Amino acid sequence: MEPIIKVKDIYHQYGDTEALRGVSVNVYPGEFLAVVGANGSGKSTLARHLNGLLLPSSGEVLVKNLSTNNPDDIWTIRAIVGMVFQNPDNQLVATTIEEDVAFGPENLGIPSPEIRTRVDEALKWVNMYDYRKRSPHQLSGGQKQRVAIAGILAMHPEVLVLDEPTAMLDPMGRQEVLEAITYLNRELKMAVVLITHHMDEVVLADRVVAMGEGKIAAEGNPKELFKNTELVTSLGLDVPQVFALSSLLRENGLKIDYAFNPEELVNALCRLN
Amino acid sequence: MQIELKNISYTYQGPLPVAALHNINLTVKTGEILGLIGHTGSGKSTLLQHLNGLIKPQEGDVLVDGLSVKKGELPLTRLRFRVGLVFQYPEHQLFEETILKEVAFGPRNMNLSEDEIEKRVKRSLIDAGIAEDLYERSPFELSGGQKRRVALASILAMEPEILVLDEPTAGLDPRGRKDILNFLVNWQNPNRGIVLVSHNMEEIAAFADRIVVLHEGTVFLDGTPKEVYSEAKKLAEVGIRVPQVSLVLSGLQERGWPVEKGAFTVPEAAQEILGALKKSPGGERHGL
Repeated sequence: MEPIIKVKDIYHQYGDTEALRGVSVNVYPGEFLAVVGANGSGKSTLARHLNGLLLPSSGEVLVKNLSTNNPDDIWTIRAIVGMVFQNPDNQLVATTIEEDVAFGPENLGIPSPEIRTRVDEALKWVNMYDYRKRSPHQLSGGQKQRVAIAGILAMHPEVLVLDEPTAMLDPMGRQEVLEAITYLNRELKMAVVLITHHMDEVVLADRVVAMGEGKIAAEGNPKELFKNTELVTSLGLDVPQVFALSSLLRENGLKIDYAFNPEELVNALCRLN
Repeated sequence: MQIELKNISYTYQGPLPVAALHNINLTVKTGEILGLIGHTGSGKSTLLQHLNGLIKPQEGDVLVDGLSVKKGELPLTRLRFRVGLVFQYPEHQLFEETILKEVAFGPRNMNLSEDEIEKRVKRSLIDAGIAEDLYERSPFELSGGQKRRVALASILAMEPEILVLDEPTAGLDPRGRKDILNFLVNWQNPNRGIVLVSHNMEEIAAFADRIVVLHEGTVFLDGTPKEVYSEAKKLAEVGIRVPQVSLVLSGLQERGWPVEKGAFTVPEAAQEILGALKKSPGGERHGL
């Protein structure tokens, strides 16, 4: 399958620190890719290269074969790759939710009736349609973040990049946002790139890229990554609790599979004889 | 040091008054790490601000070592030095030009000698894990994690007896989270206490001696982590999940395994499970 985004050996320099040192990665249509790494590993810098918010010092990022280095293509690229950030308060600008979601498509010059359709549709996708007449400041953090996502969706991107979208949310808000992201990926087949510190969010992904010191230190499916406890620890990361418990039980001789969620592990243990 | 909240109720006044706390009775003391859990809107921040006199009791009273805050039996400025509050968003708390000045601000207000101020500033910066080459930088140039550490250092420099932290690890990576939590555990001793507010149940489970769950402005549960986390159903009713390993154990118990639900760290859970397997002769395992 042809990747939507090709990141080809990029470097990025911030003042005298080299945030990215030769990163190559592809993003494929419909996949759920998680990017993990310690603070300062370069994962947010990488994310900001995916739609040309940052440009590589050397190397190239191609979005459907358009280079982010070419200023003429940058708006086309940003319509294809939408980006959601950590703090929803900085992303909401209008007085009502629906106006906020309409902001993006209006800027793209979409005709009004089409905007109406897109706004309603996007708000339904993230389960915020009933709130469309409200003001953003009446919402909880999780609701705000879902509205921010809807604002991006209304521009009909093919890839949604989310930079730690749940870091500032409480557990309920986090759950709501993760459900929305999972729905977009599974039901609408939208490609998702999720940058996160939460290892239990990585479990949702098809593929994970682990960053360390500006380079890709590991790449694979989440189970393969977490099995390598030594590597995970050396990258300053963590293993989800149930996975750690299943590994520990395996080390003690139990013949069970690695498990990610409590139910999976309970079932595996009950099958032991 | 002991802070007793006695029948505390608090309502934010305005065109639409909002009741934040309702008849809270709670004791916070040195020698203990207290984990405080509750959703946004459960009254957590209002409660925290009662602990160091940032909010004066509206109804009920706060007793600090028996002295009444309401009756003005102790000076509030002194109380704010003794109970240090580190807020969730360090941006709301930082304001100085350089990190050194930021951290010196608290001790300077305590009328300490310059020598003593300098000593405290250096020590708390080291304790909070701030590298020396950052000392002259503006706190606003720092990353989120570093800002959080500076905010912590500026409170530590006042050498409080009780440290109150609202989500000290939000937005930090796993290593950063561990660093901060390990530091806090080492900092705490019989003469120092910690109140840790966190959404991370695993974190609270691993570090707290006691857990208080706030719900709609009341104390919903108060007990040891074992006691609180064995109430998985009750917690679920108010939308609070228990640590993942606790779910594994309660799942096993429901299927007839002789395991205790309260165990909450990964090694403890493994012990429970392996112990249960050893006890069960052959294939006869309780209902399997």
